[in-house]
Amino acid sequence: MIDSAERGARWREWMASAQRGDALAYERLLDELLPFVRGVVRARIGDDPSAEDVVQDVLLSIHTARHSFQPGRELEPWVRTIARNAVIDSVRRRNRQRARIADVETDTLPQSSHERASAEAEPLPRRMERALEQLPAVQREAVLLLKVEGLSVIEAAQRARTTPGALKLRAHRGYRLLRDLLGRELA
Amino acid sequence: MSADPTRDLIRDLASDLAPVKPLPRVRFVAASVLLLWLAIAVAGVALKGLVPTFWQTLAMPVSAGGIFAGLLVAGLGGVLAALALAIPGRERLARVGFALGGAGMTIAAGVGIALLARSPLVEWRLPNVHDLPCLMTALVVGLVPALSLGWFGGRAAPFRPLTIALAASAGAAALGGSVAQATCPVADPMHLMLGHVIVPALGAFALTLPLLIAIRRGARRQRS
Repeated sequence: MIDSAERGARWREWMASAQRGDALAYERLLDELLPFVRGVVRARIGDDPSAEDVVQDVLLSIHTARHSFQPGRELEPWVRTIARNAVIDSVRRRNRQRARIADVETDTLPQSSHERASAEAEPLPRRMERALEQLPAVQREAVLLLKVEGLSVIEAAQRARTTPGALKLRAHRGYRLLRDLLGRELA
Repeated sequence: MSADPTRDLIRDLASDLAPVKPLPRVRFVAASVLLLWLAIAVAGVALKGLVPTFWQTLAMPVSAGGIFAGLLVAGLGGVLAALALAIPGRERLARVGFALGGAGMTIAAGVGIALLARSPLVEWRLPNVHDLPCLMTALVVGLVPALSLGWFGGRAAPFRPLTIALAASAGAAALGGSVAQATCPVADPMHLMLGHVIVPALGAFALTLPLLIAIRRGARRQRS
């Protein structure tokens, strides 16, 4: 009981510091929240292989909603609500992505064993290029700026006319969609 | 890069973390929205004049005063629910808001139905031009609180923007309806139902979509 109260006070303090821009307090907070978030996600979707991706979505949601935490209030209900909603949104988004990938497969991917064999023989850059084309424009831009042009997050954010945080989120979502697209293609 | 992409993400999110301004407390925002509404309501009452029997009817449960009280409670409930829904972790407060809103509407509709039942000559009809001035008054008075709630909803963390927009538009319209009720001298029970009690439903119908768009745009701007 005392542990839980102490933990609650520590989390509140770290979140208040994070709102003031204290990166160290924020990293500590997210590190400590991780098992809690994993627990909430597993309680909702079980041991699904995508559970860790959903955990990452929850962390991204916590990041974008961090201004909505009111200092002095309990952090746990705040995180729990964000996690619950992020899980629902994430599952919906994933279903939409799967449907989109299925559409892409039917339209563009090789169907016969001969076509599949030639796709496997196709060089990775070409496959990567094709997968990149399937990304939403803002995610593609973020991935290209960071990984192809090699810009720093701040430089890339300036080029994309957005904040570094938003650029990171776009890139992160882009990487995951790329992985799904390439994974499906090679499967 | 480490073997754990989730830890990488945490490090990534923490690096160059930007400071953010925490949202104001619900009670502060609720007080601001209600003060705004009160200022407009006072101006409306000054312009149109309070019904001469207003204070007497307030003491009689089954009268126009009952409808006024019901709309007022429904409005407060809607405002509270919309604000609480926009902040993660305040679901209990949102439920209180919804309960208040539901109770207010039950009171207003119950009194309206009781007045209709008591009336010897009831001419059943749809809303018409005679109800229009009161409906317009209610929507105009409710517009500013609705927009303020929409602005706050967009600035907060709106996971359920449609529910926030619905609660905000119905609640703000109910607050507007209470002003229409306080300034309307017509005692016809059918007008009370179609020109006053119906206002929250009309507000939800007319304002939800614009508010939803405003909340979504605000949230998108907040994220970028």
